[in-house]
Amino acid sequence: MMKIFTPFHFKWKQALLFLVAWCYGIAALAQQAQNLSGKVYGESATGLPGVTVLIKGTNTGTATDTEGNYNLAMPVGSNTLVVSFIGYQTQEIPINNRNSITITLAPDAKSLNEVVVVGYGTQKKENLTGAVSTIKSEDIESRPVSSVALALQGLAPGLSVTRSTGQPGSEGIGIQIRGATSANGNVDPLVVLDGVASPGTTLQTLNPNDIESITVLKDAAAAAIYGAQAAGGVILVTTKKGKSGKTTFEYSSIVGTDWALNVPERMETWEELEYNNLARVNSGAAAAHSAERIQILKEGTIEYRINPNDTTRYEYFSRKSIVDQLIRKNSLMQTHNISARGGSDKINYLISLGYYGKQGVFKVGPDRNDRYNARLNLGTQLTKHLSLDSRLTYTLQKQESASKDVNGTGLLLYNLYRYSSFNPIFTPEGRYNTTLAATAYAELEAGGYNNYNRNLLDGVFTARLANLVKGLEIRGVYGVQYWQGDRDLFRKTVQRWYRTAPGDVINTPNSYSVSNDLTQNNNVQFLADYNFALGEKHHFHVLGGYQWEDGRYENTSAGVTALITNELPSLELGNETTKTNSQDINTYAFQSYFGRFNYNYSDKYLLEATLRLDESSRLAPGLRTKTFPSLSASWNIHRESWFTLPVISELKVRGSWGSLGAAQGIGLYDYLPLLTRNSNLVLGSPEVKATYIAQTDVPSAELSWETIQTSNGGLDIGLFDNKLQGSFDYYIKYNRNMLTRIQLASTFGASAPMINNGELKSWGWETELRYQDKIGDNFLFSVAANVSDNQNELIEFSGRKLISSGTVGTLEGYPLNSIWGYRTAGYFQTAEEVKASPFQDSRTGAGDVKYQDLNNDDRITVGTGTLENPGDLVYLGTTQPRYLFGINLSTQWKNIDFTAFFQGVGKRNFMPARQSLDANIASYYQALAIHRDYWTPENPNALFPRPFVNASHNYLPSDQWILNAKYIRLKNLQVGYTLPQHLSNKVKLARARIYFTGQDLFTLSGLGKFQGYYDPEQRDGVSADYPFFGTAAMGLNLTF
Amino acid sequence: MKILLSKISLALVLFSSLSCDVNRIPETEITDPAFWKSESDLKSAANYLYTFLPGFNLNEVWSDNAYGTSANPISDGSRLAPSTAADYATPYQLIRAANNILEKAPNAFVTDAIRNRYMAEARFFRAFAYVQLVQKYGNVPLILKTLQENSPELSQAAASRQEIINQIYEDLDFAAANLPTPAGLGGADYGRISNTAALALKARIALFEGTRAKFHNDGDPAKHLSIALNAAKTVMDSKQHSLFANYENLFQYAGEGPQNKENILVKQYGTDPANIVLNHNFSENLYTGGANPTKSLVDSYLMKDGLPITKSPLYKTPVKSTDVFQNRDERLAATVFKQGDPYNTGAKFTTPMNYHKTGFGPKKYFNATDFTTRRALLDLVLLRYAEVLLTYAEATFELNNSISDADLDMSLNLLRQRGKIAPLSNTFVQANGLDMREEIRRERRVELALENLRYWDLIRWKTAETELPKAVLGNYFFAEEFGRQTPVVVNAEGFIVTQDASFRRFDPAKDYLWPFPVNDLGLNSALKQNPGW
Repeated sequence: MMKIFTPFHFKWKQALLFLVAWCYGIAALAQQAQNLSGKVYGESATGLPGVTVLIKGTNTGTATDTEGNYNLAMPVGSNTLVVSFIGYQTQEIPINNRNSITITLAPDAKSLNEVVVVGYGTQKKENLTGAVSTIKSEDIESRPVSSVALALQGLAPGLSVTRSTGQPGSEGIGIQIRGATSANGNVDPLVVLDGVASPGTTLQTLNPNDIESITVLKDAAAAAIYGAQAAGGVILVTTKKGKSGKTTFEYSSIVGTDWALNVPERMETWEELEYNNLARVNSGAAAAHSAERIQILKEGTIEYRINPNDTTRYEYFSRKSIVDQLIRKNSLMQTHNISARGGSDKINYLISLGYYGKQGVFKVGPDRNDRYNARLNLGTQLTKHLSLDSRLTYTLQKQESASKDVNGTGLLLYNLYRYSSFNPIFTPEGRYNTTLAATAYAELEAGGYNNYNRNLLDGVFTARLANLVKGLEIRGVYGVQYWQGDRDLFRKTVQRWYRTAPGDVINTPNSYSVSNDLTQNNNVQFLADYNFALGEKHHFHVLGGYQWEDGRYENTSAGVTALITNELPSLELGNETTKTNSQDINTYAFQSYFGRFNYNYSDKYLLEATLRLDESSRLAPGLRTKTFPSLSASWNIHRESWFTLPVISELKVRGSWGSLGAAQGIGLYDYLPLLTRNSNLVLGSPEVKATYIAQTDVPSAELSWETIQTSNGGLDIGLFDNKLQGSFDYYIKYNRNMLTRIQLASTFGASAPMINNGELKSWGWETELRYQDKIGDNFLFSVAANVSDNQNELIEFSGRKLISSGTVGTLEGYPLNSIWGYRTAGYFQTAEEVKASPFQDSRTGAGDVKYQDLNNDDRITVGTGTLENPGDLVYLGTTQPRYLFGINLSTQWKNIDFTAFFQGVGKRNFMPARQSLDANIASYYQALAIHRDYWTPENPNALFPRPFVNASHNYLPSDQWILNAKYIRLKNLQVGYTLPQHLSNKVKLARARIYFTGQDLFTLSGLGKFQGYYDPEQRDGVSADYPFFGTAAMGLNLTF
Repeated sequence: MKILLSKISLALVLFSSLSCDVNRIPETEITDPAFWKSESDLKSAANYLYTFLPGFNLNEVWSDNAYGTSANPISDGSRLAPSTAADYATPYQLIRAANNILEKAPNAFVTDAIRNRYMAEARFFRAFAYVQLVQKYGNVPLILKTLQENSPELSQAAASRQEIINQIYEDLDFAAANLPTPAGLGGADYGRISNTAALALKARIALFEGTRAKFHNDGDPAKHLSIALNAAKTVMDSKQHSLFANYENLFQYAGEGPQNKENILVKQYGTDPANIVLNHNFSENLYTGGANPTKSLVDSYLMKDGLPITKSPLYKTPVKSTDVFQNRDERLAATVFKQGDPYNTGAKFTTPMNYHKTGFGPKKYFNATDFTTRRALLDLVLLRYAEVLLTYAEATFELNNSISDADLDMSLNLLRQRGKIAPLSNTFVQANGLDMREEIRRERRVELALENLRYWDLIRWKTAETELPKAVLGNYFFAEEFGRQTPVVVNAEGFIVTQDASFRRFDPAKDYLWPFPVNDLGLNSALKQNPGW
């Protein structure tokens, strides 16, 4: 214990507190127990497994086994049993000194009775006053996705999950709750795993099978208990725990195939050369590819010959697709999980092991991601009053990728798609060919690797002292993340060849670097809950807490170049003078006090108030502390005696207001005038590395939290005995002291400091509907849909009113990331039309994009780049997704189940990078198949303008290239078959289900002709990003 | 129960008095107040300024000397005012860094000589930044201290060209007075600014201003030309510099280091390909056609007899590409690739027409080893003695509208001697019907070809409006050698047409000054856009 606390500057009194708690625990251990057993039935004659059986007022309890039997040791003085199961009405049964009790549960559609995990505790769903969404384990099970984060797409209204690439292990996942919160970048939600704040990447490393439930806290009332870290909302993840009873083993696996969704199709080689010649001629240059070369390529009679002008080289006429040679049609993904759950009345446990592996899209070279998860969740009732819950998990993640970056213009994939491929990858001798197009293949196959292995150890230990005084519970929580990562980056030299002579060498000299990172986060909480009632109707709950957080990240790296061998990467084998090392340490500390007060009048009127005081090391002394309050109330109208509408089974209104904090854009030590040191400078004779020190950033001494005030109004309704449930929320968020980087003229000469003077308004609504019913005895079905919208407006941002063409991140009076561009009127059809039109560009000719001169100054310009004078620029929407939705259709007929889950976005715009649209950004880059549809007098309304090398004038941001990225996607489809009980019992299985599961199987989007070439989920400014995957897989679940 | 309650209340009291220290300090970075104490601090701070020395670039394509693989918007007049521009912003970063040293160095615990030396480096770099600004933009805001976010200077109007030039002169004079001589720098400090570097930069900007004033009829030509003349003469009289014997090797590894007395300021890249601190890829950029010499440049090289190709009896219309180099100034073969030159391990050069669009390949700074390894380490010469000699000759001529043979012999003729062509004299000019100004300019163009000075020469001479709108022509199209793989456009005289004149323009009312970035106009309403933009 002492060891754990030493790093946090704890004093003796904290240790004493634990000691006190510990002593009481020991004293309570000596109590005697008696056995109680029985069986729980549901609607049918078979026992109901997994039912919670609890002695009322204690934590003593168990869960029924696969046959519905339970067995538990009763402490002396137990008199009431509480039996609960999701979908059934909870029953309280007097024990009356019996040793065996058989129980039949009645089904209950009123799932509002379910208990949801909220900040630092739990709450009955019916009594919630804030905006909260819950996701259950069933919703994310059996999905062939790489992480929990991706499985969450579309599941909860207001929760947006985006990805930028499909690269295994680097999917570029972004999670936002209720849209933009700050103009300083995405305010990530706070992820809390089993009660302890955890880095957001936890949602990418956690085993999805270990999750019991996920709660999304959306408004200030729900999230304000997390204060300064909660402005982006909070995602509470709770892992499964053991259940008392016989050990249940579960095995589940999914094995399937992935295929890349948006690999652009290339032209035939001769076709792209003809196109290229045309582009060159149109741009005033000469054609580059002779008619003979094109003719030979068309005929395909010879693949190469000795170059008559230079016999040391070949001249090639390859027609093989280099994309097909490197990109797989199908790749393998698989996941396997096994778990054991069980326990007795004193101990419950869950042990699970999981594996997830996915192959990337490249046929050769390092390109995959593997994850191994192990978890032990152990609950122990130490004494009558003291229990301990330990949750330990270890994750090993191994990502392998090429030593060069894959995504973006000029990088590996772009070059693969765009370099002309009549020069093949290999020379006839089988050596790597000295040609641009072969670079990607050679880099991947022989150019080394960039491997990142991570060992993540997470632990949460909760000691709970309950009912020492009636209604009082004290918890001590210690959470730790000990995350270690090793990166090995080896760039190997690759010799390429001409016919007889060696050509160039890639990655010369070779280099090797290792980088070790260590993240150590510690979290200590002391929580006290006190429940009491005044009379029958007035119920109170008070929570008080203290939390300490300490984070430390260290990175140490070392590297060498010019290794004597290409085969053995070692720091020992490099050139002595090239050895480098570096160190980076980031630290932060947080200290918080918080409290929550709940008042409940007969379950009708509910009131909740929270207050949190945060203090953080990131801010200058004197500005470190801030208080975040919230207030919320709700009214369960259906509980009023006068409310007698039989159709409406539930009706509740909610309202909340609160204040949340965000440290977005605040660095760890921004208030200090830091100097940077670097040594990428050569001076002297002999020439040596020289060091320089400079202050490149001006300190921001006055920084304080961004505080976001959120108001939320909500309505929950249940109809027809809650077969139809719905909820609706509307909210407004004001970030009233948002950090802004002062806009300064270039003459300032440094990056300007930041101050708290901005204001962002963000508002939106969410709605969710769910209908479930059954037809006859065997056909169950449910339909669930959610839609949400969010908009924002930047009200003040240091007077930022500058417009440039393209995506403007911050512009006062407009939403974040507003797109500005020109209006177009098709293409110029004749040279005369160009002459008669306002001046566009010196290159403009027939077949080029015709921009409209909106301000009639006879030129196409950006004016002064201000709102007063935007030239010919107009506002063309934002890149923010709107009208996010998810639709789930689910049916079950006898043993067959079917689920279709659609997810999509109703409105979004983005513009791909010009380098991605333009067929020939340089003369050595080639057009793609999509560019076949280009302007000619016969094709006046083509998709693309006339071919032209580096046609930047045709790809100015304009309505022509702003793509409509609305989409609906069949995110997941499952068809399953569960073996009838009698058959599975024969093979000693409690349950067996086999199913098909598919991910991203079908998409409809607003991209039009660009569909397949771009994906509607891709980022603004996309250029040759690693493709996304579709997946088709078979799955198996066995319980025994 | 009572004891229990008291213990619980004790726990609650403890609980509410929990408080820990949340202060965290950076563990791998130092803060400004702890710095600026010693000589090594001043040196480390000054070293930052050297990172602003420009690296290799292909800006020669702005001029009529070179053409890349595709059109250049500055050269052909198709550019628009940008929203932001590093050309404008980066010099002010350098100015801030220099001003910072000038403000903080006075408090360091060092001798005045040491302090003045680093302050002199800072003033050199401040002048260096303003030279870039004034050449491109003309009038710009004059910032002489580190600004705070609320400094009134941020919204001040541009200072006049004259104020900026005077500040440049003042800074360079201080630098020249307080910096060591090149010999005084010694090996360890090789690469740092010397007093002759300050003078050479002064000569360059003064010549720019003097000739600009003269040909644009704006300002006092005599004042600046005298300054240029004196600065150049001071460098010549210092005897610190001399011409390097081999012109071609000037731009190779053989020309690196203090043994080459011609170099005055160099951007260094190191030498060990196994230990790369900083590298470029200029050989690759040249080979792949980043800046191909034009016919206009190649034609300006004289024949051995000192006459231009249009007048010399030695000139014969070439029938193969190597004929172009026959009886020519030797600097041509050192600047432009010839068929058969070694260019890659064991390989002979043949013009890659897909890259070398003009049929001429750029050879200056091309290095076969750099090309093979794709990690080029050749140093880039930023100021060299040859330019000082040319400045001396040109300033003398423009100041007096004549130049004596003696002056020619101590300056320009040293370069012609190295190029192995006949010397220039007043009689030679008269005898052959040449123009002295044209020959001085030709010498400058030829000697400094592909060194990023030609564009600024066209600007200051006010000849950009005649030279830049011309069609860009290349070599004769030697079909046998150049092959038919890359089809080219050939004009009636048999020359390769790289860019037709109809694609080129230069508007004298606007293109002599660059457009300010639009964002800066919005942020500082006192700053006015240059005319015509």
